[in-house]
Amino acid sequence: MIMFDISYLQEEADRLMKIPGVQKGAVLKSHLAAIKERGGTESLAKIEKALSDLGYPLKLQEIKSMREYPEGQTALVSLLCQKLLGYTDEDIFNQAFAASKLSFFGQLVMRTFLSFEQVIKNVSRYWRKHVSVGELECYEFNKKEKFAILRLKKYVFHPVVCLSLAGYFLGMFRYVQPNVKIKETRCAHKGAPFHEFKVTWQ
Amino acid sequence: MAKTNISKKPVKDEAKILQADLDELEWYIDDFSTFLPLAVCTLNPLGIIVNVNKAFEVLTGYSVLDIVREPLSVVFLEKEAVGKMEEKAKQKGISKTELTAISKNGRKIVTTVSIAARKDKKGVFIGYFVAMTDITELKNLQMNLEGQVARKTKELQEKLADLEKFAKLVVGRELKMIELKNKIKEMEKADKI
Ligand SMILES: [Zn+2]
Repeated sequence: MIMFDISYLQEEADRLMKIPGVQKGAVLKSHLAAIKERGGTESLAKIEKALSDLGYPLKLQEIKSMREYPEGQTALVSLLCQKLLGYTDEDIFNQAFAASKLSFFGQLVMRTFLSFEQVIKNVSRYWRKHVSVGELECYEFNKKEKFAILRLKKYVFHPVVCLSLAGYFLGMFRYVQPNVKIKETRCAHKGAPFHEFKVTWQ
Repeated sequence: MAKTNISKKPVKDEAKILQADLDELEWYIDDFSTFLPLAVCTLNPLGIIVNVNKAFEVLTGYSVLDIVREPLSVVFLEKEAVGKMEEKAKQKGISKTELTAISKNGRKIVTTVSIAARKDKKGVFIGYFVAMTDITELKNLQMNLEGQVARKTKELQEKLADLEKFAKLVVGRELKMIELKNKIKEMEKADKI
């Protein structure tokens, strides 16, 4: 395996891992599973080794869906995908979109919803089930003009997470609405008081 | 203070046991789903695939990433029949029929499909369980057997026809002989006179 010097990421890794907040292992597990699906065991091994070298070891095989893990670890995984696997912004989005198909917990929740409206209006509840930090709310749901505005407050990790979240959200919505799209319109990393996602459909 | 500590400990222990149980359960579901030779998938109430097991991936050639979030009809040739089956399962609890699955690489697979409606504890409809059994070989065997029976029947019919011809021939000859014998007798009589 090619060795990478990742010491330059140590400070950022420590910062992310110190931010309070936990998440259910299911999300993290699905992200690592998606990395494996995309780049095979070699890509996964690269990420797992880097996590271990940085002092935050995590192995796909050992993650328990219902256990709690630091929320910062998802941001760290996405960051490592960018730095070590050369993921572009689009790749990060697509990887998270794929991850949402592989999530044990996601499937468990999504199999019961009856409509898109029901899903989007329940995002707060769904978020709280997965993550202990940040507040996701459906700020507006406009059925007539076919758009919704989601706001994520008190959640600042790393800009790469915004792409990942957008991909994951879209994946969840696609379970109940085929032609749905998503775009981050405001960002807490760019001076806004929260992240804002505009969801549109046909 | 001591009292609080005593009462908190069992709760903590219980939470630990519950957590371990959940871990076990996930492990069990993963293992069972991988091991189960029957192809199964779960649909949400809209008929969208939310989960498939290993046998489903092997049978159809579609991976989880290919097929999750697609409607079940994607897998079958008879698109309308799938919708009707789901409707029937929703009303009667279960529906079963024979459908042709089309694998990712276009192979046709004759399957028996069972769809069962799922309800939560309150009786609210929450989607479907789908099970598929590949009966292609069974069908081939059945068709082979039917073919063999048809072939044998034809052979038998041909033999019967030969037999009939032969019988007619024999009977014809016998009649001719009787006729000849009669003629001889008549001639003999005539000679005597
Ligand atoms: Zn953002």
